[in-house]
Amino acid sequence: MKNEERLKAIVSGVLGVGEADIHDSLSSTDVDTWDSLNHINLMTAVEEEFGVRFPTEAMDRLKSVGLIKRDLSSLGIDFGA
Amino acid sequence: MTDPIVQRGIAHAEAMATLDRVCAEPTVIHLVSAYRRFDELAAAIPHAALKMACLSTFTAEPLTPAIRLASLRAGIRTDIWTAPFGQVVPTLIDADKGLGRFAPDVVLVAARLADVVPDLYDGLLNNEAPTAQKVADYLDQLSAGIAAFRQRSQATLLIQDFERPCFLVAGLNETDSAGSQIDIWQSANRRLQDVATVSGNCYVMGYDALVAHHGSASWIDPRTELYGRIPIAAKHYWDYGQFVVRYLRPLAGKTRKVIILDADNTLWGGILGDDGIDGIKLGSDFPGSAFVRFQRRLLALQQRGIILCIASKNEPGSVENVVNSHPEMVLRPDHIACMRVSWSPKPDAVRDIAETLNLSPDSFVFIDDSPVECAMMRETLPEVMTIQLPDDPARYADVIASLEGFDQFTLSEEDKQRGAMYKAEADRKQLASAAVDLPSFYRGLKMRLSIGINDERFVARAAQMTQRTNQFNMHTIRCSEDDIRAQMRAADSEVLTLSLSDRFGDSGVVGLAVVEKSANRWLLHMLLMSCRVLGRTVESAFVAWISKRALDAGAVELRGVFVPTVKNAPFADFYHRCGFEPTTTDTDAVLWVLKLISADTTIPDWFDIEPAPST
Repeated sequence: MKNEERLKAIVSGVLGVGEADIHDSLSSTDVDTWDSLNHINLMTAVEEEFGVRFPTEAMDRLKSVGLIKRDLSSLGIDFGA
Repeated sequence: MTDPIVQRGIAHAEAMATLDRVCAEPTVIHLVSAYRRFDELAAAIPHAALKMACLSTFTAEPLTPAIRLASLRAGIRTDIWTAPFGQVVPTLIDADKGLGRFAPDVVLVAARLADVVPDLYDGLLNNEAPTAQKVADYLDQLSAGIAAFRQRSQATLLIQDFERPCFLVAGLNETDSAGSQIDIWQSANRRLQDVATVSGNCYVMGYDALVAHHGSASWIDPRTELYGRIPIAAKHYWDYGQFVVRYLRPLAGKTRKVIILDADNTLWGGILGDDGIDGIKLGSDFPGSAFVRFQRRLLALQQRGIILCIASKNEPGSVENVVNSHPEMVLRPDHIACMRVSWSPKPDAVRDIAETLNLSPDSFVFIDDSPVECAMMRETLPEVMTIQLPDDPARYADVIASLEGFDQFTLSEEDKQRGAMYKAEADRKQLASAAVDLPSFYRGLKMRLSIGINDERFVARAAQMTQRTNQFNMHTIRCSEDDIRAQMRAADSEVLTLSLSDRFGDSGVVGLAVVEKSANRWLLHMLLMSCRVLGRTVESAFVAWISKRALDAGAVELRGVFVPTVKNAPFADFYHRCGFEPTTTDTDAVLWVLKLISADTTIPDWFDIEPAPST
């Protein structure tokens, strides 16, 4: 599976949002289920899926799909150009 | 069209398979995805229900899915109310507010000393005030909170003990000398035990051992601890859930009682039919040593009351021969309640064992090395917990260490004797097949009944019976020891404990009745019998004895409550068979009445009974 699809599956699985509705600009303000509790679940689920560890400050900051992708890219996960 | 019972069985097996997958790989995504389907899974799995309040010094909500899914996997639907963050003691004291309204069956007190007295864990031993004093003050508060709660509620309390500090400021000089971090921590845990003892129906949970087992460095994620006050690392959510469930099982009557073992490549290495008794691997050198260790762990469980059986596909007589005469066998005939050695399918053998022992297969654990046998058992009898052994026999002993479902809060004398008692029961069945007619069989048993009236020596066993008995239980009420004691001491009630012995051995306390007395009418509020003694007329003799006692006391009626559950259906007509008439048609509860004037209160001549009913 491509990394893009892997990430969508995780976001969809944690937040209960259809994969078709997941795009880079989707953020915690758009989704009711993206509350503080699920945010931690999302961060840890992404870490488990990609085998990375975010620094603690990232947990506070990665509140959109695009931001998560950007930080994952900087940790060596390829999302294409 | 599929038979609805079969369909329910399939739904049950599929729901269990979902939970087993979560258990095998409990990542956050698996937990959260399965938890979204919680209600659907709960509808497919027969369960008991518990209401649990959770009071913690940290953010406990992320653990909810793991606790509830792990509970459901054990056949318990746990509904959780979470107290406001960090409000452990105020919630306990102000039990009339949220906690009182929720009316929990069980209260989990998850207080981390690291959250309330961080000085102890940061190595600050005298930061404005002595740390030992701060710890003592917190335990005073907790103790007062628990005492206040206990005045209002009899709910079971589960209190986590405190984890060992890891950052030891004295470094290599840290000892458990007075006033050290370790010393303060140890006193705190000892004090906690005292608090639990004073409260009653309160148990200390081994949280420190749980953290130690996984390693503190792995257990705690400092990122989520500092950012979200969630100290437990996400990869351990499921471990925590299973930890809690260990304590819920005995409360919900979901403890397992029986282990059914395969023989070849399970109790010994190799195939008996191919290798012969002299060729199988069992002894002091590997791989035989791995099987010896495995058997020793099983023997330890047998000695604390777990019933061991063997179900093996082999020539009849061959496995029995190994158990009898192989010099390195640890498990001997006396330890095995039931052996089924034949070529028939193993689910049939398991059903047969269930019938012989009078126990329901949902209290069974089945252990086999063969994936085919395990798959067949899971599909045919999903209520049996099936465990496939790992490839490497060196890891077999760990399987026993991680076995779920055998935990109990107290071990009674009966527990320690149970294996022997079930063995005797299986021998009785053999006698039955030899006897010409049932009365001669009963007389051949030389049964003696002894009935205790409000006898406080039996409080622990009586409470345990209410927690463990699911089938012959007319009104399934789970009681604590304090509940039983209160009923023994009350003027208008009576707790009767029935002990049975016969020529094969002493079965201990096997029957319990709680009677509510008024001038002319006695009510059997609770009546339960251990299933292993059914089929010997003990239960009807017990009721006849109680009828006689009521009659002698001047009562004209003996009434009995029957409240149906999934498990007690086979005994729905018991009161009818004893001559009672139904008075209500309410399906939730039936009240049966026996007119004592015309009732037959004679006890069959095959019983010796004390105290004998007056004549």
